Amino acid sequence: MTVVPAPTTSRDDGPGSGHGVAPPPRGAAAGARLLRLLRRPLSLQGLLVGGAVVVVGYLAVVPLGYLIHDTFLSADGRGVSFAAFSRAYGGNSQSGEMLLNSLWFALGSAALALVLGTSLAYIQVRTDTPFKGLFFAASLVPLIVPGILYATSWIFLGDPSSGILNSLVFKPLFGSSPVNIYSVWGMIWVQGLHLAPVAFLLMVAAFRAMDPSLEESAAMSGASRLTVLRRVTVPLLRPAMISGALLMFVQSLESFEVPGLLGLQNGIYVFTSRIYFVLRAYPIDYGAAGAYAIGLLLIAAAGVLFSSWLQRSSRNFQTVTGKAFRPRPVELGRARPFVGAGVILYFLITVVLPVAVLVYASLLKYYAAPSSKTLSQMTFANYRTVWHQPLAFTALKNSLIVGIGAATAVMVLTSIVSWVVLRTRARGRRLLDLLAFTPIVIPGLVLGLALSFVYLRTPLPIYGTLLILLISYCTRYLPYGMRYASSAMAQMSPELEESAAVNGASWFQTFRRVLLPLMSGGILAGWVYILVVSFRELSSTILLYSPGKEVLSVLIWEQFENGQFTTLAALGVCMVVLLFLLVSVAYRFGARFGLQNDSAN
Amino acid sequence: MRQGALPAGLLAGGLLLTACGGSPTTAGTAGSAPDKNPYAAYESLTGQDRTDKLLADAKKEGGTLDLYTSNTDIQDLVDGFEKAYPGIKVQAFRANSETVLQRALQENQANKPQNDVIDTNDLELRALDSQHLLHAYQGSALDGLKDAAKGLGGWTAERFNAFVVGWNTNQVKKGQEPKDFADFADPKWKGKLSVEVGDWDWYASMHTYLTDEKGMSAADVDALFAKIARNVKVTKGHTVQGELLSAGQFAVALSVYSHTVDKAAKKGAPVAWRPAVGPVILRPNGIALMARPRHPAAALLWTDWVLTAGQKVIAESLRIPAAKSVPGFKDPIPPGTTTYALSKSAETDTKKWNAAYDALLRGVPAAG
Repeated sequence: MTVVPAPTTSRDDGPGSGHGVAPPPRGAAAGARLLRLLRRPLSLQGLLVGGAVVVVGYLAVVPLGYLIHDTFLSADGRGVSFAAFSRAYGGNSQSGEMLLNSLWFALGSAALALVLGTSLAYIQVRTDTPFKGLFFAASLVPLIVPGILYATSWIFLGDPSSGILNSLVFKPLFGSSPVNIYSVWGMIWVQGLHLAPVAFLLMVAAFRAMDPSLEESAAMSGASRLTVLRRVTVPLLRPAMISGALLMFVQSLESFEVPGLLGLQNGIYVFTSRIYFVLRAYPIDYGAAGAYAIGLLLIAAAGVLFSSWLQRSSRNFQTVTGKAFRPRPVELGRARPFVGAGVILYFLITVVLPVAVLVYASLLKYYAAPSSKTLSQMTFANYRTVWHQPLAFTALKNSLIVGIGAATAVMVLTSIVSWVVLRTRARGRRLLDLLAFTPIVIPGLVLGLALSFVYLRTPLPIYGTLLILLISYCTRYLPYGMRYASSAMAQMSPELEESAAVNGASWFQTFRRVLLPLMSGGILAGWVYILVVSFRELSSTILLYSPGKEVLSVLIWEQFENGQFTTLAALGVCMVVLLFLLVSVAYRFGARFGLQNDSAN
Repeated sequence: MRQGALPAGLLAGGLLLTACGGSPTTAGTAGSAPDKNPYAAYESLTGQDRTDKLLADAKKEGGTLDLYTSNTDIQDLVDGFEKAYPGIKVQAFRANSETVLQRALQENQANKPQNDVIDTNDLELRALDSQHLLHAYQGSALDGLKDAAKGLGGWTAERFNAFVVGWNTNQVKKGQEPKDFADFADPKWKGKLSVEVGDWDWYASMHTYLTDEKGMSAADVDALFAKIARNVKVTKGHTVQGELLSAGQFAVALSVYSHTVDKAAKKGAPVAWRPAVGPVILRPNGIALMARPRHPAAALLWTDWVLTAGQKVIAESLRIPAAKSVPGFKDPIPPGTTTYALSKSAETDTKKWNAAYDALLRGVPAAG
């Protein structure tokens, strides 16, 4: 690290400093504040902080407890047993080989997504590139399209024999068909593009909160543009980059859509295909499923600990200080047309190609490669079918309620909890951080079973209502909220809070009027992410929803099960349009409340 | 309380909660048969008397029916029923068969049954029946059903799904259609065949058919499947499989539903499954009354209707109805085709077949 932080305070209360030798005198200030808060349990602040910690802990513990219970319960139902692990990993399961496949796939996807997302965010926020409006679309559309449709679009594009890219582009132009989507590289490509928005949303927020004066000083001291980027810009963004990489890595380890659709065709099996097999049998071997999930949990836990170790000297990243700054765009000069062309290319590949395939498929009665025959037979019948679905509007309304509710609840909770994790020296804060990350590895069906188990036995009217879906989504997206909120918080210097406190602001006033506004970029990014992905959550939804309380993903599932691929494509196109509008409104709304809007540059 | 102890305390509390709640998933029986038969008042009635009383009581119960189903064409049945009996509203929970099963089990374990009727696949119905959660249907509708649809325990078949070999007619020209299942072992099919990753029940049926009906040794059948497995591409989901078959991504799908192919062909897709490669595997999908319904009269009214007038609706969605004769229905399976019903061993040893199919696709020796 060669970053010279703005000379502010010597305070170091990052997550890694718990074992520091002698705590700096002011270091314990926040911890002591928390203590004071909790000693006054009836104060507003005490209730807020304590309540948020308890709720987050509760949300995470219910499915985890259920999972652990089933995994370690011995066959006679009395003692503790490790038999589930030998059933899961032993015999002919090839788990080692599959784990290696999984790791390769997950590392590759996370790396590709991180590089793409970060570069795009940099170009978007910090340069005077043309076509900024396209970024917005490019950053969101791959996120909105359900994984199954995104992967299928790429099959139609990249199949070695009949894919459109091979048959219409490479074959006529170069005489060969180099694209093979059914390879590990193909899987990494599709998953990486699908995940890049996660990194993009995180990094845009991080770049916006970064004081460019550090880069300017480096440039004044004679560093080349590349050196500045390598030794100042990238290191400063470490918290957000690590958070993003961790999320995307674990999400790829845990997902089965892309490996299931692309990998299986060539016999590439991943770790989650084991879980898939186990969960399809009856009676389900919950022990074995749990043993796999715990394997993933260990990997994820190592990742969380590694990332907090990497962020151990947190003050190095605190770029939001008391000094005012205004990010000035880097002038690209002669490179501007090339960067512009790159933007258009990326937009074409990640948005236009797959969405065009979807639109094309949605106009057909059955999918066939484009020809004059198929073009002449196009029809809007599929859109009429979607329109006339009896449940379409109920489902849309419910999806909106649950999606907006979950996004808001998660971001409020995680903003407070990330304050506890990053700003206080409370013991067990790292455990809390880890606990909030565990839902990411719990298979959706297991989460659904855990929740229905608990709420079927609770007198509160939760089971059979939309509330249970809300609880399920809050649990499932807790890890994402935590990463978005804590990477935003890690960028902020505590001197701002201290100034507020010195001037007599209460904790709540400081939190609401200083911290939240400064974190708003990261919080909005997390909110948008959760809203969008909650529209397609199915694995726990399908067990927990009730008739009359359908959500859109249930409708998608039904079309899918029913073999109506082209109708499904039409539904997918409608979702893209709808969510795109919704998120545009959210950003406009955010801009009104002081969020910088740099698409206007 | 020190804040540090918070997460640890939460974790411990949560574990305690789950532990005390009893074994969530390993409970032996999910429920026991109720002492009283909720359908007793209607079972001896027949004809219009029965329908009138059921309709009147169904309205008294609140005029709703709670149905759990994995039948993706359920909306046609719901529409037909609500048209026949206005005033009874059907609330359908739709999910895949595994989820329908888990939901019913969970609710009954918690002593809060929420549904009156269930409509799903045979394996899941057998699982529910073994937990005594179903009540065997009695009524004159049984007389009109095929023998294979009756005598199944607590449930009754309402339709059959047929696993067939389907092909893309652009890639498999007329006159060159596959004739025998064993032909697919030929290396000329390499990369042109497709199977679905979860179809272990199909595999169990084919395997048993070849040993029990064709007299092959188990080792020969394993060798045949091993050769076929070298030629296949594995897909996930019958919908993707059907769509990729229409698009010509592969020439032959070894295990598709006849109605998937027929629906695609009806829209003009270049796919076919006739003349059928034997055997066509028939899988009963059934309907069952729950042993502890909230709306018993509505449940019985629905079941009566599905097994009689509803059979026509099922036939119209290109499925194979359970009734012996449905006006205007032509059996999609050509006369003379060998058919085979899902084997008894598949019913009993689901785990073994699931593991064996998984091992076959991965090309590793089967465990144990």
